[in-house]
Formats: sequence, C-alpha cells, structure tokens
Amino acid sequence: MSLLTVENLTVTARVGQGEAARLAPVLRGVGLALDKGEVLGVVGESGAGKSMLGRAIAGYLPPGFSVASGRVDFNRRNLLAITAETRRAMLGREIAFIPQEPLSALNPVRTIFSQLREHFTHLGLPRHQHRDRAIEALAEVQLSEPESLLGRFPHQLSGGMCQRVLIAMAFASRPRLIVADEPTTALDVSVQARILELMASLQRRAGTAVLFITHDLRLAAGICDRLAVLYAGAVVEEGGATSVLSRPLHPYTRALELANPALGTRRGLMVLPDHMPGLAALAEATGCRFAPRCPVRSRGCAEREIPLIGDNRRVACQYPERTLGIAPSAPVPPHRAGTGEVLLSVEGLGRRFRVGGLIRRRDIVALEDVSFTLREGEFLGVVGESGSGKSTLARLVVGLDRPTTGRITLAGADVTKGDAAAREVRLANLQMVFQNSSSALNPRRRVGSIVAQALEAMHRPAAEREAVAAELMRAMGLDPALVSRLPAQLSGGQRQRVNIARALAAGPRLLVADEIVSGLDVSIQAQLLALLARLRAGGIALVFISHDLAVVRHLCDRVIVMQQGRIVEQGETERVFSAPQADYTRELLASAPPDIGAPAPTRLLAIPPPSG
Amino acid sequence: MLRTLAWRAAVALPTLLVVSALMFMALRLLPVDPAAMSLPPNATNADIAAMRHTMGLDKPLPVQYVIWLDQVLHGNFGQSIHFRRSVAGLVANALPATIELAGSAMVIAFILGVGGGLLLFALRGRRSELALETATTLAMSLPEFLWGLLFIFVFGVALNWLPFTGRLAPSLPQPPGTGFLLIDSLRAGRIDIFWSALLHLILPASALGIAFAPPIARVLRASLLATWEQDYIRQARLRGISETRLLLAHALRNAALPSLTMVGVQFGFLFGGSLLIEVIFADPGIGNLMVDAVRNADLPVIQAVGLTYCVVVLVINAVVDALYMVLDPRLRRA
Amino acid sequence: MQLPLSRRLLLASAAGASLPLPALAAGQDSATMGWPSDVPGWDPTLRFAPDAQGIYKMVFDQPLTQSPHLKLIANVVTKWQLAPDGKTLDLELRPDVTFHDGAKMTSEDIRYTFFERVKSGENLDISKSFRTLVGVDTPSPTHAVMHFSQAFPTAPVWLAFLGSFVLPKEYLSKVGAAEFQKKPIGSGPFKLAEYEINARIVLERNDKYWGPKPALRRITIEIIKDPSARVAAIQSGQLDLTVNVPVREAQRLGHIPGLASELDPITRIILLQVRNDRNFSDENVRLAAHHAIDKAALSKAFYGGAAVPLSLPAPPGSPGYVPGFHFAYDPKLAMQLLAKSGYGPKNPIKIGFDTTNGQFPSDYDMARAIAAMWKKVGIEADLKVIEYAQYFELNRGDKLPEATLYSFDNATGDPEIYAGYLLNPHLPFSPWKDPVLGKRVVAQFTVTNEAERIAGWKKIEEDAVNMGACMPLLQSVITLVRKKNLSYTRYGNGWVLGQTFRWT
Repeated sequence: MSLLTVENLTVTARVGQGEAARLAPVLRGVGLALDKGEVLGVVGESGAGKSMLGRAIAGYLPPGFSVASGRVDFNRRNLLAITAETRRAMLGREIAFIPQEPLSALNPVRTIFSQLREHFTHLGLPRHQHRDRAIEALAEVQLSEPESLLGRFPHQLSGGMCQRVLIAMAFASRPRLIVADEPTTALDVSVQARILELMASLQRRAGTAVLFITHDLRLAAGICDRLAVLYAGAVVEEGGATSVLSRPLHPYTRALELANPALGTRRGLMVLPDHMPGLAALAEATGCRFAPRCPVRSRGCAEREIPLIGDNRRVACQYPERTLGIAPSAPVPPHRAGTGEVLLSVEGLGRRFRVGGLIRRRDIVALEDVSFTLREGEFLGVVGESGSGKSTLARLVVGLDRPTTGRITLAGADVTKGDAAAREVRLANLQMVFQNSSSALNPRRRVGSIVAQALEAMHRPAAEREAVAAELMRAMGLDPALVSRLPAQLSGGQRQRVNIARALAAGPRLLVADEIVSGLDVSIQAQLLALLARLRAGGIALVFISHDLAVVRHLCDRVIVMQQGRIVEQGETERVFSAPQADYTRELLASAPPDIGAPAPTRLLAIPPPSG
Repeated sequence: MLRTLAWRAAVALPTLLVVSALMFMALRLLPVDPAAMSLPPNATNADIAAMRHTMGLDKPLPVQYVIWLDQVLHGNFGQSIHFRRSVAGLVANALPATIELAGSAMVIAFILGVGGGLLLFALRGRRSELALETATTLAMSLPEFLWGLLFIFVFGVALNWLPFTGRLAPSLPQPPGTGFLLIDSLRAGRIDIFWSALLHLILPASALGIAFAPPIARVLRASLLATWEQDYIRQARLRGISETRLLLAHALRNAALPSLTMVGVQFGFLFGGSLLIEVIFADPGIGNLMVDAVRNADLPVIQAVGLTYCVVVLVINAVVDALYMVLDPRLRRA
Repeated sequence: MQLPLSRRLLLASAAGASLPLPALAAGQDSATMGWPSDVPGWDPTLRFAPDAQGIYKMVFDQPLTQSPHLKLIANVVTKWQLAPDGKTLDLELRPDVTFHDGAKMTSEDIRYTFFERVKSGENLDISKSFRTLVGVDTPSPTHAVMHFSQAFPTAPVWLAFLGSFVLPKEYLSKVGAAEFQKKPIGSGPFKLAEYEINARIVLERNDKYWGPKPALRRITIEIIKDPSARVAAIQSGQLDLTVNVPVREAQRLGHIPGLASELDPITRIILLQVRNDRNFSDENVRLAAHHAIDKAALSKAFYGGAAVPLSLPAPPGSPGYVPGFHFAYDPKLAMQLLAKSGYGPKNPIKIGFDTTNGQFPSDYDMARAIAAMWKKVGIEADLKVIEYAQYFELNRGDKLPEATLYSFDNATGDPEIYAGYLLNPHLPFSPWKDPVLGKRVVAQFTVTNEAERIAGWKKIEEDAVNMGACMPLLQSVITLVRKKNLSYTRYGNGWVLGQTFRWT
C-alpha cells in the first residue's frame, strides 16, 4: 500500500462570468502513487497544474477552484473528505510543506524562535523543551550558531538560511510526507545545490516520502526516484527517473529536455511553438492537449486523447516510438571570435556606496576594478551569484548609475560622466532590457505604442511607427494583432518579447539584458534564446547577465565571472567552461544541476558544509 | 531607535519655534486689545493706554515676540489676562483632563477600529459587510460634537444610563495627585471615585472616538486583505495553524502598521476635537480653557494652549515612530 | 497593593453593573446647580465677572447688599451715611461677623480691602471703582469712615456691586494672594470646600454664619458652558437647578413633571450703541432708525415675549426708570423722518451695523431682524459679526460703525451705571462722542444729592433717547429651570444664591 495515492483527481477552475462562465480542468484525472521514503518529481511548466496538486493535498485550493472528482489517500485516509480540524492536526505534523520563496514564507515581524515555537506548540511539545528543540532543529539543517539565530528576524537572514529554517520546521515532526514546491528556484545556484543536498540527506535519514514539484527537469533528474511529467493538467508520462530521462516516451518530455541548454556541451535547442493552453483554452480543449505544439503529431492526435498507459513506465501518447526521433529545431548558435571594432570598453570600473549617517559611516564596495571590452556583434555573458555586482555593472554601463572610479567608453566616446553628450551617445547606441518584464512595461500603454516608443521620441510619423512595430512583433514571433493589447493581457514570455522589441526599435548597436530569461519556463526560454541568437545576424552586440550558466554557455561568445564585485575570470566561453581557471568558477560549475545523462550527482556531496 | 527619536526631537524644536512665531504674529494682528480685556469696564482710556505700556504692547511685534520667547525659554508662559494667574499653571492643571479624555477616546477608537477592521475582514464578500460599511460611513460623517449631543440625549437623558457633566459625581471629592482621575483614585484606593470617573468618561470619550474608528477599521481591513495573500500566511496555514491564530498572531501585527500610521495622524485631529467635546461635557480640559481664552481674548493662554497642541502632536508622532520600530523589526538597525 | 486593588476594582465593577447611577438628587440637605461660567479666581476683588457675583456672594460678604427688588440694604454694614459733599462715607459694621477661620471682621478689614490693598499697586479691578478713595479712618472696630478726593455719590451702590467683598486682612496678608486663591476665606454663608477650575465648585454651609443660616448644607456648582448640555443635565436629573438655557427649551422643560421653569426679567439691557457722526450725523436718520424697530416683535420672536421692550436705558422698577416715557414703534414716522432728509426705501441711506454672535441669546438673529425692519423704511445696514472682545478695541480705534448691537449688565440698577456708563465719552463703552451730551454726563457723575442725582440721570436718558443718542431695545431675561420642589429667591439682577435654596 502506498503512502500517498492520488486517484483520478480532477480540479476545476471557474473561468468567465455569468452566462459565459465555464469550468476549466486545471488537473484532469491525475493518478499518482508515492511510497514511503520515495522521492517523486512532478515536472511541468507553469500552468501545467503542478502546484495545484500540492494545494489539493493540503486541502487549500484558491478561491474559484474546486475538486470535481477523485481521491487523495494519505495513510489510508481520503484527504478530500476529512474535517478541517483533522486536516489541521495532520498538517505540519504528518505532512509538511517547503515553499518556493523562503524569504517571504516566514513572518517578517516575528523572530525565528517565536515561529519555531508556534510550530512546536502545534506539535504538542512541552514548553520547556522548545528552546533546546529549536537549537537542535536548526543545527540539524546545518545552520551555524543556531542559538544566536533564534532571536533574529527573517530579514536578517539570507534566502538560503530562511529555507533551512523552513526545512527545519518541515522535518521537525519527522513527517511521513513532504511536499516541496520549487524549493530552490528563488535561490542562488550554489545555495540551491546545498539545499537540495540537505533535503536529500534529511529525507534519507528520516525515511520521508517527498513530492518534489519543479519546472526543472534537470534538477528533478538529480534527486528523484521517479518522475511524473505534467502537461495542461494531466500526467503525460510517468516512470523511474533515469528511465524517463534517458528514454523519454512522450514528445513533451523530450522537448523539455531538448529545450534546456546543456552545461557540458553546446547543442541546438528544441523550440516549441506557442505556449501551454491557459485557463480559458483548457475549458474548450479536446483531444491530445499537446498536439498543437507537437513536432511529431498525426492527424488523429487533435481528436483523440490517449489515457496514461503502461505499468512501471506510463505514457499518454499514441506514437511514443516517434519521440526519440525528435531533434533540436534550432541550430547550435555559432560562437564568434571578436574581430570587429571595439564597441564598449570598460576600464577599472568601481562603485562604492556610502551607508550610515554621521556616525559609523562606511563604504560598501559594490564593484571594484572591472575592466573588459566588447566588440561589435559579440555576445558577452556576465555570471555570478546575487551580490556579485552583475546588476551594478549593468546599471553603470547603461548610465542609470555613475561609477566612483574608472572609465566607460561607448562607440569611441567617453560616457563615464553621464552628461548630456553621454546621454546622446547612449541613446544612439544602447538599449537595456529589464529583468522584470511586467513592471518594465507601462501598464496603461498599448503594446504597439510601447514597441514604437523610441520612434515616437524621434518624432517619426505614425504610419512608420505602426509599420516598424508590426515588423518587430513578427520578428519577435509575436502575432502583430497583439499591438492593441495591454501588457497585462500578455503572457510572461510575450511580455518579455515585447520588451525586447521595444529595445530593438531604436536600432541599438548594444543591448544590455539583465536576467531576461530567468523565471520563464524552459520552452519559453528556448524561444527567447533562439530569438536572441537570430539577432546576432544583424550584428548587434549583447551584454547578457544571468545566473544560469547553461544559458550563458549556450548563447555567449565570451563570459565574465564575477564574485563580490570583482571579475574573477573572463575569457572565451568554451575555454572558461571546459577549463576554468578560478576556484570560484569551478565551484559555480560544480553546483549547477548536472545535465541529463551526466553521472549521478555524487559530487554535490563533495562541497564543504555551507554557511548559507 | 534612540537616534531616530533624537532626530525627531531635533526637528521638533524648529517646528515649535516657527509655529509659535506664526501664532504670536497672528494673534497680535487680531483686532483685539488684550490691555482693554485685562481691565474692568470702568477703566478709562488712560488706564488702558497705561496698561498697554505695562504689557509691552506698544513695542514692535518682533520685539514683543523675542521678549515672549525669552520668557518661555525660562519656563514663564506669562500671566493669564483673564485669570491673572500663571498660564503654565492653568495649562498644567487642565492638561490631565484632556489627555485622559483624548487617551480614552483613542483607546475606544482603537478598539472599535481594530474590532471593526477584523469584523469587516471576517465578513468580506458577504452581504452583512455592506451594512457594516454603511455604519462606518455614518460614524465617520457625523462630527464629534453631534455624536456628543446624540449620546447625551440618548444615554444621558432618554435612557438615563450614564452621567455626562464633569468628571465626577457631585457627591465625590476630587482625589489629590496628578490630575488624572483614573490614576489618582486608584492611588488613593477609592474605587468609588474610579468608577464614577470611568462612567463620566464613557460618553465624551465615545463621542470623540467613534468618528475616528472607521478610518482605522478600513485601513486595517485593506491591509489585512493584502496581508492575507502573503506567503507566510499560506505557509503557516500549511503548518496546521488555525485560521483564528493566523489572523491574530500572523496577519494582524503585519497589517497593524498602516493602521498605526492612521492612529498617529488622527490623534492630532482627535486632540483638537476634544475642544468641543470638553465644552459640551463640561470637562475641565485645555479645550475648555481655550474656549474661555478665545472669548476673553486671553492671548497668553491661547498662545500656550496652541503650543501645547503642537507639542502633543509632535510627541504622538514620535511615539508612533517608536511603536513602528517595536512592531516592525525591519525598521530597527542591526 | 496590586492585588487587593484590582480585586476591589472587580468587585466595584460587578456592583456597578447592577447599580443605577449614583443618586443624583442628593436629598434634603444639598443641591447641585449648573452654571454657565466659572469664577475667574477666588479673590473676588480681582476681576469683575457679573456671572460670578452670585457665587462670590455665597462665600464672601459685601458691605452692603441688595434686596430681591434691588433696593440697597444693610449687610455687614448696618448703617451708612454719605456726607452732603459726597466725599465722606460713614459706615457702621455689625460686631458679630466672623470669617471662616474664626477671625472677627472689623473696620480694619474694610480699610484693608478697599484702601490698603488697592493702593499697594496690585492690579485689582476694584482699584478702578475706588480710585478716588484717599483714606479710610477706623475710629473703632465697628466704625469706618471712607474719604474720597471728589464727590462719589454712588459709593454706597458700589459697596454692593461688582468686586466689593470684604476680605480678611489678617489671613490674606499672612498667606499672600496666591495662597488665598487656593484657600479663600470669606465671611459668607458658605465655605469653599472644593474647587476644580472650569469643572465644579463645592460649597459647604458656614454653621457660624452671622445671618440667617442656609437651609442646605452643601451646594455643588457644576460649570457647564454649553446650553444644550445644561438642558440635558437638568432633564436627566443630574442637576437640581440651572440657568440660561434657550428660551424654547426653558418653556419645554417647564412642562416636564417635576420641573419648573421661569423667564425673569433682569437688570441686563439690550440696546444699540450708536455714533454721532458719519451717516448717523443726521438726527432724523437716527430717530428713524429707532422708530423703525418693533421691539415687541423682537421680544416675541426671540424671548418668548418675556423680555420687556424698553424706551429708556433703564428697566422698569430701577431708580432711573421714567414711567410715562414711551418711544413709539412707528415705521410711518420713520419714513417721514427719512424723507425729510432725502432718503426712502428706493433711495436708502447706508450704515454699518455690527453684532456679536453668541454673546447673548439670539443676538445675531435679532440683528438680522433689525436690519430687515430698517430696510423697509429706507435704511440699508451692512451687517458684520464681531467678537465681543473686539468691541472695546474697535471703539478705542474709532472703528465701530454707526450702530452696534450690545448688551449691558448692571446688577445695581443704578442709572449712573446705565446711562452714565453707556454714554460717558471717557469710558470705553460709548461710541457717542458728541461733546455737548458728553459734558452733561460727566458732570452728572459728581451730583451728590440723591434726588437731584436720579432726576438728572432721568433727564439725560430722555434727552439721549430723544436725540437718537441711545436706542434701548429690550430688558433681557434670565431663564431658570429647577426641580419643582427646590425653592429659591428670585433677584431682579439675576443672582441665584444658594443661601436661599430650600427643598419643599
């Protein structure tokens, strides 16, 4: 008997209002089983319904969502039929959750101890044991000096430390089941690895079953025993982790794998068209939901949906044999030697921030002695963890901030000072694309007007602006009909493309992109990467800031590795990734999730005990 | 935290200086002759002229201000024209009653506001929310003196439940001490006086406080709604924490911060509103003193009471800042 | 301390929940009175406050006093004799008067109160009343002789007027003025037991009082400035007696079982103070303005008809009243007078008109009514609201308009303190600066023969009204509401004295 069995679970959401109201199935006939001590990875992109699965288990669906049918049996009890009281008694004790955003998952105004203590009270631990137990729990998650942490508030801790605290809480009751929903997505790469390792070791020691929800196939491959791939609310493939990854049977699984740039080698990406159906589309959909995007579909696929079939290895596809034949649709982007004219040159750049008032004033070094050059048509990747100075560098280059020391030369002109002349030079040569696509777009302007904004500033006639906007939209793979929409009506990937289109409208020679693919689903990321690769044909140069090493390796000619405001290594991408010189580069590479099919992640364990 | 408070104090001084100067000039520009007011009706014009000279009213305004300021800095707020008593003594004597009244009103506003906010939040999306919403709008739209009269006629006259004149029953003596009846009576061990003082406070404090509850309730409801969507609420719920505890132990404290700002802003208005309430309820506070002072053109008293209002508002702002830091650890410096 | 206290608190709360309010009408030997204003302090000679005189009279004694019908009568001074030249006043004191501390009241105390303290330079309001007093002889403890530098025919009147209370020399000079304010000692029928500024005054019977003993042991005076609050308080039974509630409310309260209400004319008069120049330089215009006002209608509209219309600046019953004199309400005559000077409703003369708002009941509304009456005959008034406190300042700066609505209280009823004050160009009350009338008024202050003196004032009053220098409107009323079984003595000047209270 399994610990957790999900049987034929269907969760629907109400879409539309009044007469037009429909029920969209966000989960459709999902069946899963999880044994004691087993780790099951639920993989899918946003909108696949994977988080809804966790919520259904917890019994807290968002307003407007409801369970239409099915059972969720935990320890021989149907979780969908228990009272709120029973559920509360069970939550945190037998079933624990590890959240996605550790920094915001702890109450900011209460100390770590008071939050632990509340949990211990819920677990029925006598009051006088709370302190010792808290210290023990924090030590268990390898937090140093647990005693001094007790009186701290969440904002005084790093994201990794917060996640450790939450993991400590989750494991405190030695629960039978832990549901971890993207527990490392918000963390830095090196921290990510340590957290996963910690979870794995605790899980093994306690024999806890884990439902590991993630969008990252590679990550899941590293730690899960079995995998279930979700698409549009249904499990499309399920089986042992190694088997699913080495021999995917569903075209979507294969496409996911191929959409991810590899860390070890450079290869072409699988770029799926379009995106997963949204709620409204789900309400209408029939047949195989993946068919419209499937590279190997047949005529019948759109009409007929195949249920999940098989025993240990189950798949919901009519033609599983075709899957292995799927090849990357986009070619390997060429890496170019920088031979063109120097476009951007940065020499000895430094930036200090003064903090504190009259007393105890001190300087914080955000950037120190950074020098590099960028030639025309060159793609330069900037990698490093948060706090490494990547974003400060970007702000200095685009002129949002001024350096304390050093020089920036753009297109032959010194733009260090940021005066009117420098602004002119920047305006003519440089554009920036921001990390957060939704807040970077004026919510009240139509997409068309946003894209043509730069032309408006140059006082071009309306007809020309419209024509350019439509052309750019097409070039970005966007339906030109979207020009009349508002940003809020677009998906994340679409918004980011509008963002890029806007930057390109002014015809810049240099694009500075700060984390523009992070937070996007892999298939959307693949689309954007392909788009950026196409742009280089036009001779544009790119400064690409990212924490994702694989993406940088895939896209960039040269790479800069930054740590604590300094460049620790720079060079041609191939050289840096295959033969890293700096220790830090090696460490970074080691902590990135391994490629599918690469040796088991034993090397994770070689990393020294973490501090945060 | 200490530094923030010190900074507050440093800012407060110039504020007080400017306010006092403005008030001084404005009062002296009124077509009212403090000299004439300080003399009996059978004084002659010559008497008045002599008095103007004695009071320094024939000097240029800036000189008068500097003299006044110098005296104030030496703790001398001058003599009341009407009472011929020390202004500082009059204000110090009246202040406890006003603080007791405004403080109780704030407590009532706070209790009603927080209770109302929680109730509005609990009723969100239901039909009864609208009824409560209407009630709060009504409570807010009536000025405090109308509430006062309404309470007097309903609870004082028609139902005859509660007293509404003065601070104590006529048969009870005023206990010696600080002037805060609730404190003095307990210190003297006189529960009967405490009880009477409490009963006498209920109507004026409610009248003063009721109009200030709805804004607190609304801000609290809005911030509770926002807080309720936070990750830490969801995460705590997933740990099996009950909904009540989620609301009171997790959401309320986070959501209280904007309401606290509201309370701080409002206390100034509330303190000002005590003026009419004190007159209606025959409460011998500084509002009552001010009304007399205005009627008698008692400029030194007006000036001192005005300054007192200003100081109280500044102090309350500082207290709110301090509370903010207590409630929100993110504002404390490491 | 902590625990017993909180337990007692709990007990008290529990008891309180089931108890009604503390018994409010405290029974046979005490009464609670609601009064609209506080005393300005406890040195009764310091500030003149008409509303406080009655309260002072409960604690202190005046040398002379007034009967309910305002006749000047003996008090601690039993006999008084003003010399024919008006410069010497002979006083004989009761021998049996003691202050609350047991000290005997003697002629020394008279000398101290009215002479020594005044001359010591302290800023006391009575120093203005007795500015001409140059000495007090004390031939014996019960005999005092006041000497004035010039004739002071109203000296006896002043000994029963504002601020004239005998203070204990020994005690006051021992403790000083500040301490005296905290612990005042008088010789009156009550002692001050408790005082909270702007809140309440508690008086306890002086059992050793020389005069008739008060029936009640304890009088509590609650200071309640807001008229509606006084109405509510008397209606709810929290007060036994109160004054100055709105006329309509007084009438309504009178119908409530157990309550009685009275509207009594008092010595306060309402009048228009006028200028003798600008657009009022023409006597026709002034008289027309006066003839155009329907005083009976004003009384009916604003005082329930209880306020007596006046033709002279002296109310009926006061010494300066002239029974036969009547100044008619005659709008036709007013129009004729205006026409003579070339004005009419179509060609109105413009004047300024100031009024207070809230200084006395219905003042602003009355001013508006008057302006409307004027408009009908051809006077266009520009009505402006001023603060009462501004009146003297405006007058001093010669900035009062042609007419100002004004009220004037004179508890003595003496004509000098009506017409004399209202028309004396040297005092701050009068905007009338015509030297002819002014000289007559000033001269009248020194007429010593009582009969001549009164006759002189009557003539001045009549002349002033006939020339349009004075426009009396109404005799004001005091509204008083009380429990029906609480009796009191009604005084023509509005005094409400605790020593006259009695439960029946």
